[in-house]
Amino acid sequence: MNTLGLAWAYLKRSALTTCLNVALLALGVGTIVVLILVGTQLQDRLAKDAAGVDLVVGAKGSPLQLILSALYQIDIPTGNIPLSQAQALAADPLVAQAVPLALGDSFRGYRIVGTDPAFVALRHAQVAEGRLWQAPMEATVGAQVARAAGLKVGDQFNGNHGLSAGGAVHEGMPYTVVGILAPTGGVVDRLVLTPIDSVWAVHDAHHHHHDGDEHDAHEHQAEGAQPAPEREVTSVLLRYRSPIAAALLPRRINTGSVLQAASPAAEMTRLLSLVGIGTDTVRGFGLLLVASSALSIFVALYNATQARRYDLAVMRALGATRTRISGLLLAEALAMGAAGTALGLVLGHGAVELAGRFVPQARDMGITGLQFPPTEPYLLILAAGLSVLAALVPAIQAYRTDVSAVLSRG
Amino acid sequence: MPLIEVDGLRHAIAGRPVLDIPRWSVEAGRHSLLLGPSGSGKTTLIHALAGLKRPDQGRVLLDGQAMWDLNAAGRDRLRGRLIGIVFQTLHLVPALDVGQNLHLARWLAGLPRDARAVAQALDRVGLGARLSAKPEHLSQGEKQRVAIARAVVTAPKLILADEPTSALDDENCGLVLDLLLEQATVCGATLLVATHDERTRARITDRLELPKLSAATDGHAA
Repeated sequence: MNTLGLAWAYLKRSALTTCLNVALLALGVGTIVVLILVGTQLQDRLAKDAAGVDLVVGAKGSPLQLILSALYQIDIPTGNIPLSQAQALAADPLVAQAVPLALGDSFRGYRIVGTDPAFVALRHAQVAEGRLWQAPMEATVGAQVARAAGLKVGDQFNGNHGLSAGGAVHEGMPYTVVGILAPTGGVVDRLVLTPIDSVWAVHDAHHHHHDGDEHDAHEHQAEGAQPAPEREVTSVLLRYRSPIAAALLPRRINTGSVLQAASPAAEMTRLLSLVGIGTDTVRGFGLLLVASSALSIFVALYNATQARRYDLAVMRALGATRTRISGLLLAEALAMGAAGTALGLVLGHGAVELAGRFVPQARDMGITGLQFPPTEPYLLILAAGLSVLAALVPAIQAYRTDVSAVLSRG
Repeated sequence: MPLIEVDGLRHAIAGRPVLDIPRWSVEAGRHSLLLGPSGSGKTTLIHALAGLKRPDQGRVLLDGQAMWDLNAAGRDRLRGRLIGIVFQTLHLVPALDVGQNLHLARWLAGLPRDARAVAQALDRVGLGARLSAKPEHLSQGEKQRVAIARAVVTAPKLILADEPTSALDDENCGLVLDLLLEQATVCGATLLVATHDERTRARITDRLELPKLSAATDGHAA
């Protein structure tokens, strides 16, 4: 016999109440765990995908849309820009590096990105198998694309028109896989990389084939096939040569040209603050659940103290100190708190891991439940603190009980 | 040497005196009755001896130790170490089985876990086979015996029994008294039975008669 054994016996005796309290706490803790895990991984992912890119330049429109489409490949682009202007940017003395991107097609929902090999270095990606693309219609595919489509070096595939799955297949213009990138955990894992010339060539052929057809402007981003002599790209990723460029370049581009410059850092801050309102609400709901469970534990213990007054008095008569009796109630609260928190952690991590495995969007984001953020221990402390708080009044009540009076009343 | 020594003990409840004992002692190993009508202060005296109810005046020495000179935790420890109590309402902890109720008594008394001592205590009251039974599955007579086993499982020097027979018929009254006397003798413990039950007079000859000091009482701790 010990305090925990005795606490367990009492909890077992009121099993339904105990289970409900534990479930309530687990739901609250689980909700917060999901938010912490997803929020942390989302922010890490956004920061990782934006690393090394100081400025994104594209067609005028929503700056957030430009960042999402060019950097994170999760929105449609704002339009195209003339190749000559992209080349002019690359030659600007304020620019250390300019990497052009040409979008327009996809393969099984994965975007085909026309770019130059500098993009791979910018994204800190490495070739795992084969080599980088060199000639038109050669493709180096991201790790996730290769895994999902079962692509190997030497395989061929046709692109689909448009950025989402289901577009018309570009027959007769197959890409040849010449390399597969090692997994990065970033957006590059989900891309098919090829020379810009490939994109232009496919669309030249497409427009030749569908002469006179009408197309959605957003689904035709790298329009190179029009009779117009000027080639276009969708956007350019820039790195500044010096910090002074941050002050000069965006302003100059946004006011003095048809181009739009957007800063990843500024736009992501804006996006996260918008998303933050939603996550704060859900987090508040999670905290409310945790607080409710603490209240419920308090009510359960308070009622138990009343119902067990004679039990507790008998224990005192048998030699239990007041501290030991109070400790018993604290142990019951802590046991419920620990069980609820442990279950909540398992539920939270389990739900995120399952989402990461079976929900395509979460899988694409590389979401995993097997990560343990440094903020999680605070959750344990919070749950333990609330449990102690819930037990405090009943424990004090038990501590101050007049044993003689209770025993005399029977 | 006296195990219990009481000196100038006085207590009043709501201004009405319930206890006035100038001097009283019980030798170690003796069995005594604490007799008196309802409201004569028997329970108050039992609680004062056990360190549960501080008297208004006087001293209580238990095995030479002044009970009320100790702090609360000290009194709890002394009670756990020296005293086994049988309550009128018996009251076993319902969340625990019979064996666990006895283990609980040993644990609260600060004694090490001893399954053999628990089994022996239950055997002595004829309930060795009911070790794993929950109190709600016991008859009243069985509960009474478990309560006695719980009081002696700590090998106390003093067994206090508060009205252990008042709700029993003649036959069971005799059985319980026999059991208490037998267990006290086996343990070498002093037995003090507080009762207003006249049937007990024939079994235990040492006695302290408590007069009823007030005409009316509220029945509290009396």
